[in-house]
Amino acid sequence: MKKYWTVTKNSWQLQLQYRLNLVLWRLRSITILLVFYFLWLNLIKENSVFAGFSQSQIFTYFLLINLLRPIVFDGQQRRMAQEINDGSFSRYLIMPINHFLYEFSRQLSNKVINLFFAIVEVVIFILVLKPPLTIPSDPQIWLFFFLSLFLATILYYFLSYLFNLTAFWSREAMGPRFLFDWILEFSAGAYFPLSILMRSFFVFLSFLPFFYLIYFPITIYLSKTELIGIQQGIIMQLVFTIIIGFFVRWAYKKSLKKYTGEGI
Amino acid sequence: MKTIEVKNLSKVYEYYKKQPGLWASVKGLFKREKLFTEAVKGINFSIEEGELVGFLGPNGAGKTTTLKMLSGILYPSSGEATVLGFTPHKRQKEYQKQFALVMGQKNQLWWDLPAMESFILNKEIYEVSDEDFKKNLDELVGLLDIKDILDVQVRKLSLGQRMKCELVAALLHKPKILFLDEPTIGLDVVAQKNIRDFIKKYNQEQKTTIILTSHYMDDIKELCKRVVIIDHGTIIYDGALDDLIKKYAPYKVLNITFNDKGVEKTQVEKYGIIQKYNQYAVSIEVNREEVKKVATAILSSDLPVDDIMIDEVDIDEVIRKIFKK
Repeated sequence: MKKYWTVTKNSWQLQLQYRLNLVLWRLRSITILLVFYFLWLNLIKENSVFAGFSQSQIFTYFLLINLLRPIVFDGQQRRMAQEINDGSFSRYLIMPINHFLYEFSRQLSNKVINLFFAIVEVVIFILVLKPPLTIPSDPQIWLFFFLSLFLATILYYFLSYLFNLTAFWSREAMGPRFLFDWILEFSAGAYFPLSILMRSFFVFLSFLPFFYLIYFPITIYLSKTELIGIQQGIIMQLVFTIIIGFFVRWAYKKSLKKYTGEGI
Repeated sequence: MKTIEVKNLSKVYEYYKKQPGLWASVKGLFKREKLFTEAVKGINFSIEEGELVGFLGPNGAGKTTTLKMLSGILYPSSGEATVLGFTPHKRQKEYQKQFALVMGQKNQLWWDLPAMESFILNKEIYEVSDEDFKKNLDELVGLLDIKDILDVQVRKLSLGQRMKCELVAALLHKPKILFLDEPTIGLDVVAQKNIRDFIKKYNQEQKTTIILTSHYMDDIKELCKRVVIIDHGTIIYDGALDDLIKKYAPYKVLNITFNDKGVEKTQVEKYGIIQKYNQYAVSIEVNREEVKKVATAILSSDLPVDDIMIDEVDIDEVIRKIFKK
């Protein structure tokens, strides 16, 4: 595993080389956080409820989005597809590595750096604006929350990796990837709580894996899901992870037979 | 002992026909014609341990495709390749630890970090012990004289310095096989020579089996005793570089200089095919068997010969002729 740890360390160094990029990326997160805060401050008054969320729950939801985004998602999710399209992916095929772990090690560095800054931002946000927040007292809730968050991270990685494999089959993987990311974030509840949506559409989304990436862990944290619902949700996360993991393995083998290593 | 064995190896690429123009692109959204191109057509060759073999061929001949198949990047369409007893496209870790591929046109180091970081990563990837890493690194850094640039970001290095670092990264785990795909491309003559000298010395000392592709004949002439020439996916020659000249150039060149008033062209035409002519210097192609006799005849004639030299045909010329066919 030392090789993968070295990949993570190198990726950290790389990100710290691009300080402006990092600052701009965080600026984007802070802007989204502030926009949502002031928007919901006007939409939902104290002691009122919107789509089943109280004011403190909705503020907690958005602060958690800011913290969960860097953990679950990846800011450089299109890099692998780019490498496949420009042929630089070949370098991984000749090295004694497992690319699935190698890529995760690179993403891990991204996650840690962005999470660090997200925590700093959220703490400053709480200290300055003092929004009402919900903090669960039941340790069981915390346990299920972290378990679902861990599974969500793995599930997203599998989904993202699977989608990047389309680059083996098409030179134009970037456009579909952009659309995929948008649909994924929307369906994951990364823009707003999904319970705002029409009931039938909400139920439809709950059958998709995206639902379990952001919305599901946050509703556990906010105690908006019953114990049985939590257990079912975690089973869904596991089932999706296993099925998609199987597809990743199958598609990776198929894709490599198709690979031409163009550009080298 | 045979290190590399290739039998009837072929690779077919499929692609879509792209007609020029915007309207053709719109039509292409609905209907596209699939085309196939056979980059490598059933080639056969084998390479012994420690050999340094030059792969020659024009662009698109199939050299890089062959290297990609030998290194496991590509699946062959048919046929088989065995390297060190392994099938490359199976990508077994035991095989991957025993070879390296260096591509002159592709950077394999971490572009924004000093080369040293890539070396350390390769140490971990290839599971090189601390002791071996230090020993190999010192040796390679000394041979290539790059001690001063180890902590400089790769993107700030010159092409020659970068190629030296690429070689170090590739050789840290002491591979038994080295695939070099145009390692001197784009380098100035001094840098080319440095890289050539290094490859030569490394091959002699480590007995590493090397396949080298290059467009520069100097690389091939200086490094390879054996060459494999590929054209349109087919091997058209596999043998000693010296024999290549004998096979494709069954003549030598008489370079003669004249003094006094020089010579008329008609006076020398009877001795062979005139390659170059001016009044005072003439180059004549003469059959290998007759070259001594012809030289003697010229010297015994009343032509005002100042000097006469019997030269081997230039290898560049031979290769150009082969590819022209």
